Amino acid sequence: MENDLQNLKNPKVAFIAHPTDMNMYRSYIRYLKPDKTYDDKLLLKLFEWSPSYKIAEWKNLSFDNIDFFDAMFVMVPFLPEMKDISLKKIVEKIDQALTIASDKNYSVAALGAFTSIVLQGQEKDFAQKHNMVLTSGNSLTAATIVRSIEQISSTLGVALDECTLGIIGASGDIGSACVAYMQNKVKAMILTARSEASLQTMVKSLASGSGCDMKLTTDNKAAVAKSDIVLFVTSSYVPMFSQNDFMPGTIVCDASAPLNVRVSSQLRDDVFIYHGGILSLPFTIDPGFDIGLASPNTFYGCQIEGALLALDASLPYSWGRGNISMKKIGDFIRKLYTVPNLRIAYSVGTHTYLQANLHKYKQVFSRIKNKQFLECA
Amino acid sequence: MANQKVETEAVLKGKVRKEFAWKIISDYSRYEFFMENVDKINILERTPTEGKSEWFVTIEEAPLKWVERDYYDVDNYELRFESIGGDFESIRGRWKVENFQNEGIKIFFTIEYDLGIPVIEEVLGHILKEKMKTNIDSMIHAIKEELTKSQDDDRKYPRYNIGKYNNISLNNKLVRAFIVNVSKKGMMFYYDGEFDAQNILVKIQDIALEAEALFNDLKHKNIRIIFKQIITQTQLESLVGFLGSDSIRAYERENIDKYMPIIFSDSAYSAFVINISPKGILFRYDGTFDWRDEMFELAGVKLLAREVHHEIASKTIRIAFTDTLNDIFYADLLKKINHYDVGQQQMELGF
Repeated sequence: MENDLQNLKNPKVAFIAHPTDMNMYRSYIRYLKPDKTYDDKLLLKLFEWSPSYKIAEWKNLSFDNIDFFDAMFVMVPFLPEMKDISLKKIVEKIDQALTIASDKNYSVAALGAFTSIVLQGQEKDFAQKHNMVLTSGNSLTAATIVRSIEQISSTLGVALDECTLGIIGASGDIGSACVAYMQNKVKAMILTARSEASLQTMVKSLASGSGCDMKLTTDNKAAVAKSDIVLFVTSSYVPMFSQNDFMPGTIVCDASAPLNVRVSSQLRDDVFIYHGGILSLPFTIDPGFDIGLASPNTFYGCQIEGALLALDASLPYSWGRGNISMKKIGDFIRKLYTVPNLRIAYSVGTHTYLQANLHKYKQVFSRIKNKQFLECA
Repeated sequence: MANQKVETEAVLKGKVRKEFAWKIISDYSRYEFFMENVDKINILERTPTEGKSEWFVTIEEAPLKWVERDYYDVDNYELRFESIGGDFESIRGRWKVENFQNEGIKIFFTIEYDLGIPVIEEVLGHILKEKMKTNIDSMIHAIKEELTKSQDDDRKYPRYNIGKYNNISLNNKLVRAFIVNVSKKGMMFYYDGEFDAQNILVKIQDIALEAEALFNDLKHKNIRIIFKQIITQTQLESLVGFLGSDSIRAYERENIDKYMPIIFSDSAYSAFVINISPKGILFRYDGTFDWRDEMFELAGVKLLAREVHHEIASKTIRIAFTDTLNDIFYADLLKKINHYDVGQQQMELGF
């Protein structure tokens, strides 16, 4: 009885999400029907026909064992590979997902992956319709990314202020927030997007002007080749690079969904690649199937932003594009410091980096740096 | 999730026969030519009553495949099928053709399916059901269209009624068949023997025609064949003239209905001859009679026959000539029987 009452009081966040690519969807189908394989075209159509539906619900989750919240995972049956699906149909599915959540008195919905992009510009209407707080979760994602870069470069002994940071997909919502935050932290930045014009517009909008040398280009390969740290924040749904495309001593933060860098089971020891924007939790979010994370104790920053909003109504939500202010990033970076047991996770594929791994990488990176120094001298 | 069931039916009024519908429904090899959603069907096995087929179907851009066992019940115009592998956990159903009221037919088509992917099948539920229903509706519609087309062809090529037994060559075998009708497009006949219904070579006099069976009603031995090429008016006239002619020796029985003596070398019996054909004689004998397989005489003609049936109650006996009588011999026998009178009988029996 006490528990039931507690449940009723708990703030509630709905994780609205979809598989980021065909591989993840196939893996989901294998989880549902392990003994059978299906034609991709058939699977895509079945998914396209499906309305949104609830996958799982978790009660009494807590970071600190003081404040509790409930969470629900609602599947929006959509994949970027669906070539023929209309935007209207996707919006309809997101609307169905929000209805599922609002019908159960969920107060916050975190729109994962493409769902937030699709709903851009309509957030207010849908928030009013469902009487919910909607968020793309991009602010916490951006905060997690920039802090992870600061943190890992320090851990690996890489001086940020001597580095060139390449940002692939820099004109997007998260990308531009990362540019704004990192411009005063690194020596130089190479920013890429599908169009240079969008980069110029974004750079002009930077509040305090550029704090570092900035190069704008549409050439992703050149950017990757000349960067010490590469950040991927694109909406490309096909891998753009493999782990072998990077120079030794490069830090690669792949925060795209789906991931832009293909890694093999044998990771390189001279390039540090990790899945950006992921947080480590004191509880598990385990729907039972692969959601692209190395551990059920980690989850996407964009979704956790929803949980933090549910617990703290004073936090800002993330809507639209270009609205992630430095204040918002600051608010969420503070949360990363103050919310107990909420940490930045370093993992890639099924591999989670342990402290010992990081120490090894630090040694390798140090050797590479010394070698480069001697060559220059 | 339990099996989902969708069903549909179509009624065709008018002079449409169940056999036509059955022919179209039971011939999977042609589905891909008139059903939009059927990409291909591979016939893996086929006997008159059973089959195995591999299906490739697209339902609203979703490609589905499965292998099924098929059970053909020609007597009841019912085709049942059940999957043995494929995208569905199970799919089974049936086609059934029935007479409709006084004229016409009704075709039923039912499918039960189980997609078998948990969660997805529950979420899809009524959506998939609607799509499956649309799919079977389109299939039955295609069957109906095909049937209508076939009827239109019939109207386009009028049939000439023959209604006679004739000798025709079916795949180089001379057979005796009752020809119902013939048109520029095909012919219908009754024949109780076996033949390859897919590739038929029909020879009638000097006209050779390639054909395939449109339907083969095994129950009623009723066969409609379609010529692979529409025949010319001249060919049609020749066929009608030849098949409709009385000059052809017929196996149909001539009714005699008169008492005549059957004379063996040492004895004679007055039998009531019911009918005769080049194959044999049916007669009644009121006394005790055991047929003797030896030469006997009827109407002055010497014959050799064996007993094939002796019905004690009605005292009727059917005998079959050892060799089928040729035209001349048979015509002569008929003539003598027709001219036979009772006085001659009394004389022959020694009264």
